[in-house]
Amino acid sequence: MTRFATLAWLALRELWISFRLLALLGVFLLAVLPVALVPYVLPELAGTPLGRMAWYASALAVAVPLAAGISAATLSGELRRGTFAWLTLRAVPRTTLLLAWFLAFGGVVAVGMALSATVAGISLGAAIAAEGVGAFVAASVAVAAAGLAAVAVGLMFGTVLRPVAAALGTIAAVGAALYAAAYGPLGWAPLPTAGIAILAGLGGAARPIADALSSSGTALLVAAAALVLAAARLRRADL
Amino acid sequence: MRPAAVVVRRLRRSWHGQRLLDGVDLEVPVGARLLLVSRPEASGSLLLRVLAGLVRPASGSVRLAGLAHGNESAAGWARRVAFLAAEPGIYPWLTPAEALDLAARLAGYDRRERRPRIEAAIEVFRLQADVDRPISRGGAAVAQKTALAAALLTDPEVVLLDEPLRSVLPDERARLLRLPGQRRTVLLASRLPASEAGIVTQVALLRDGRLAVHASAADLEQNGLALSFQGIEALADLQLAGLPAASSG
Repeated sequence: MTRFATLAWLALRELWISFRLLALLGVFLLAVLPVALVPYVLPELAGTPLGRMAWYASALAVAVPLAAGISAATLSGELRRGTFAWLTLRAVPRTTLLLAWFLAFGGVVAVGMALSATVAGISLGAAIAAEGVGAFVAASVAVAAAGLAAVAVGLMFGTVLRPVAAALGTIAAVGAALYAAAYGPLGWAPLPTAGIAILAGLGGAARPIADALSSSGTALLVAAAALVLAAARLRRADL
Repeated sequence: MRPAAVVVRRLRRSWHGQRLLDGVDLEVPVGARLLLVSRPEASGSLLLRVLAGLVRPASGSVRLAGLAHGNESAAGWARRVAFLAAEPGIYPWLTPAEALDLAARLAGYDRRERRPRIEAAIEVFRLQADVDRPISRGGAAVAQKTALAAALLTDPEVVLLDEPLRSVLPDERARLLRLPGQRRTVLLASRLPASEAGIVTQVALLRDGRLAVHASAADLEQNGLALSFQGIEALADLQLAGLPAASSG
């Protein structure tokens, strides 16, 4: 096992043991619960399938900032509890540690989003088939990419602020980006968080796949930029 | 004269607005075991963290075991320099065996090299009873012993210890702190100098961010001074007054 894989596995074990892995998966699975359960539990509130898709998108708009907030608090906590220092003393470059944590968080967020989208796809199968499976998949991928960008932003905040402040700052920043995508003057512009807006408006989108791909690309660029900033900050940080 | 294992030149660094290192110059010869006391107390810890590469100095230079500072990815760094903080920083859910395996793995040892080193460390540090249960269940003593075992796993030339093994019984603590042996250079920051008797061969005092005295432990005895903060400070005052107190380290 390479050094990077060892560190990523260590980060995953820490997430598992601290229950944060379950929390990360949980926020994405909770987001899909209204879509999956309301028709059976409260059929009078169920509305149309496309309406429920909008609920789902709204719930994801909460899940993504929460996941990012967890990543911010985790990294900040690792820096302050001395575990980063212990690993750095074993000649592990700080950037390698950061990327290992990003891989761990990004992997969990991607799996969480995949599970969530699968449940949504099963629950809203007919509506999705009508609007195009490709559009739904592309929008879900765009949301996952937004999740990666949000995690990277969270890691960046985590290198600067204390855990609670880092989590709150990340939630505010990612939440603002989501709000801008959904309601801002830029509308459908390829914001990194536009995937959620595309998902919410799946029935009325003119070119959802192109917009989702554009949003995904921007999200990955934002993730890269946030990681570069986080690495620069981490290299200068006192451990 | 023995070559220097640790060379510090004009080191400066503030912490939370306080200048804790204000132009520190220090040379520690190979094989010396130096007790570092300081006022403010945080100065000693900060100096060790700078030496370990965890904290960046505002200015000045550091060389340890012939290595210049600043190249954190240097392959030889982890094998030649070890640092142990008061808080070990090991994941408490790891077992001592896992922590040692991780340390050996990250140091670049292959499977054949890892096993004998880990087995030897477990025996020397008497971790057999706790080796396969999480460090958190063994308490602070197991965590600190595991951290020191991990630090010494690579047979480093310079060992930096910041208030080490405070949770370990005194006799066991003294035995473990002597482990680095004659060949290794040890810098030990302590708030309880008397507890380091028999472990250290040199003493140094950082006062107001500067090196006030660096002498052999025997100089304290020759001047009728105890191995205590007051004793080391009195030795520094004697040197400052120009009295023939000590021959520097």
